Amino acid sequence: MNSSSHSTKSTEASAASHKPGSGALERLAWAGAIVGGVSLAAALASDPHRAWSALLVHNFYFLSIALMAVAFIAAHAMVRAGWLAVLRRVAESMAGYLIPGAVLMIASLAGARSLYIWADPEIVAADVLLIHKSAYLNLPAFAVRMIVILLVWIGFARALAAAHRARDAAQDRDEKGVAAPWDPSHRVVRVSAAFLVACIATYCLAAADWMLSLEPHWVSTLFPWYAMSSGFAAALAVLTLLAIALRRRGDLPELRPDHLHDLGKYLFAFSIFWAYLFYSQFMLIWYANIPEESAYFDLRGGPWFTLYAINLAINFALPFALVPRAMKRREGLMIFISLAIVLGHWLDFYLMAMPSGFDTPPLGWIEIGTGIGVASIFYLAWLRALRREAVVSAGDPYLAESLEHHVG
Amino acid sequence: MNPSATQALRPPLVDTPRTASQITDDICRPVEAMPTASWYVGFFASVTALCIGAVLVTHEIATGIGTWGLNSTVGWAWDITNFVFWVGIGHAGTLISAILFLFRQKWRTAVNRSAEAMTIFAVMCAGIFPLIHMGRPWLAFWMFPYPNTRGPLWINFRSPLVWDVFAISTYLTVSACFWYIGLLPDLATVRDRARNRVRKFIYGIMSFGWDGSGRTWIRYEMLYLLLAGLATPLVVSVHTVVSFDFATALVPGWHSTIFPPYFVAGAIFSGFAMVLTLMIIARRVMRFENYVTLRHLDAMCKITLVTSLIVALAYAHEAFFAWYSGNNYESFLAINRMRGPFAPEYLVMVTCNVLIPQLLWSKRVRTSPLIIFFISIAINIGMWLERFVIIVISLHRDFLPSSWADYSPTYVEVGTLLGSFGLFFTCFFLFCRVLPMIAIAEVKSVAATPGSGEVASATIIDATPGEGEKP
Repeated sequence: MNSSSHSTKSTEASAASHKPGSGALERLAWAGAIVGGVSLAAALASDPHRAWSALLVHNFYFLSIALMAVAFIAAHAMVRAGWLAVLRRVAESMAGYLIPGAVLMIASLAGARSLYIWADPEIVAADVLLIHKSAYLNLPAFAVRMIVILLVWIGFARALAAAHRARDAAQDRDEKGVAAPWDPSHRVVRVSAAFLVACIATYCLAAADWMLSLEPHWVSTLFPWYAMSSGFAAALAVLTLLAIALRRRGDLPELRPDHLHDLGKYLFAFSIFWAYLFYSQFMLIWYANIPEESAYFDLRGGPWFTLYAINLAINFALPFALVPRAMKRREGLMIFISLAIVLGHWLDFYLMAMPSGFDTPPLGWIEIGTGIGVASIFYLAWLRALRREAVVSAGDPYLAESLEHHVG
Repeated sequence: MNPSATQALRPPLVDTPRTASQITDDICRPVEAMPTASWYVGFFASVTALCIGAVLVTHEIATGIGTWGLNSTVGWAWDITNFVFWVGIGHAGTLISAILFLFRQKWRTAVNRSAEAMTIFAVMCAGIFPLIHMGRPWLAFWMFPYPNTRGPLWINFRSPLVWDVFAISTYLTVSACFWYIGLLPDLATVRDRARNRVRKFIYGIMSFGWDGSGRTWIRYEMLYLLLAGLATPLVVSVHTVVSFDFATALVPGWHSTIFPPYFVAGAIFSGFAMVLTLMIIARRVMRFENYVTLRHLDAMCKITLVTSLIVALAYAHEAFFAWYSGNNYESFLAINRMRGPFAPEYLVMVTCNVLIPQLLWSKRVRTSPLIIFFISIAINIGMWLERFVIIVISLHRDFLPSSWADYSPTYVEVGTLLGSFGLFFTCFFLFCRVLPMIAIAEVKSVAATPGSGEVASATIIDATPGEGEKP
């Protein structure tokens, strides 16, 4: 108990002296958000198709990261894992991006006709397959589904954070002598279960709607799960980076090599899991070689091939560097690999979306500017959510376990 | 920390206080005492089923595959359904022993031994079916790549059926090693308790001269960790390769990119159902209620529920994308599943795999062994039917309506399935008799043993070592 009350003091002290996460990175993020806004506006004026595509890729990427970070927390809450307690608020606050992300997503409805060929009535009228799909792929239904999906995400993420908050507050009371509840996580577990069911199902819909329908003639039943695994691996990398950034600023002194060790294991495992789904999708399409399916990978050959090779090298080969025990506990190496994985999965989302609309990879100021902008907004939204409470929740019943977490 | 609060965080896994020697006595009792009457009844029923299977398999091999209900359209039916069913059953054992070990899930200690044994027996049952399906099983060694005198004739490395041979044999080998390594300390315990020399000699050889020294334990634990790491990709890869048998083909209902993870989830789902079925019987018959507690059943039910939801999501994907693809063959298949000649099978499958497991949302259901038992039986049936639906419904209406056919099994096929259950349960009953069903050494580490003070409180709180050392 001593250690937990000690940490309460230290978080209070640090909250009084400065806001967590403030400093150069925050200023950089503000500058980045402005750069992003300006370049997106300029791009919309000069090349709207590229601008909307860039916005879709980046926004969906960071929405996936935000949602998957909460899914990570929910999964751990369900099994009452203790080690994660010091990282919980860091991950939970990533959901802060869901609101700006939802606004940007709804804004990109304005560019739907530029992004999706099924939104163009003339193209649809001449295409038997698109006529068949127009019962599902039409703008009003698409917009309604989008709004419902985003509301589900935001609502459940908030409910989960509230359940955690309520549990931690109750825990404080219990320590003053009231008998402990038989299971302090009871409500958190219920909300987590509901979150996981609702959000995984709606994420599959979102991936099918927003990404898969960019190529409406192509179908792969695995695609939604594939996108989810990519987002999940990226969320783990972002969580690692944010936690280390906080610790380096002195705002998360509780983070120790043992926590990094477990994050490293997850990062490795889910990188391999992503590669497994990549292989499953690619190999089965290659092997059966049905023209309407293999067209997807044909489109990604030629000028896109190099990027595909880089995608696999970063997201599959590089994480093997995490296998030795010492590597996962070394902060510098974890930063390097996490950064690479964040870029690698960005490339993966880019390769899911871009080849349908461009003959050669568009990679210039529009994409980089938009990317910097969306990433900066993500960072600022995360920071804002993080600052609403202490970085580490002192009332978390599993905090003692997490503070002493030891990986053998 | 206030002890009542910490106890509320993590209730002990073995809740009735038992001393270390009581635990050893409890677990060794079935191995050392004479079998009970219920054991004899179960064992001989299993052997009878096994014998029926053996007779029918002999008849099939002597006569030919014509004894089955197959035809040129439905070339795979009960045989391959049974194969996929049994391979799937094995997956829970590997998940419990490898993945849950890496996830530090200590409740696994009560069930890992029997689940791993179940894996090995299930893979043995699975292996029978492709073997007898060859028609000439004495030429089975042709499946292995080796320089031969049949001309420069190599196996077709591009065939998923060959990948299956490698995947399943690797799986059997690694699972058997993992299981046996875990048994060593307990075999030594049985050896040390042996009252006669024959028994001492046999268990002495089986325990590889285990001496229980600190060094031996360190080596053992490192080996166990490495095998867990090696077995983890196997949990995923085996059923992935099995799914490739179907998904690489062009047949609607088989060619679907979601198959690999969907098959793996389905395998874990069916495997946990089988572990639940067996453990609910075993804890009662062997009086292991103190070790396989309601909390264990609760945890296993949760995994079953999660995998049921994943399987349901995959069904939804298949149905939705069948329509969305706009492909006539795919959408015909989806409709044929729901309304065709095998619609009852499909509907029972959905009921058993998706609807009935939803009962597990309720904590009361998850802690009532009798209800879980019936749910687990329903899932076993549902998951067998899932493979039947995938295989037979996809085949019986192929691209050419002129070659459409129907299928019904003959008594030989039904009897062979019965025989495989006979083999499975015969092995399982023998296992219960000669080997400790619960990992004695491991379960002691999670038991709240009285009189051990610090150790007990540390194990109750699970991952909070050194509670008393803090300033």
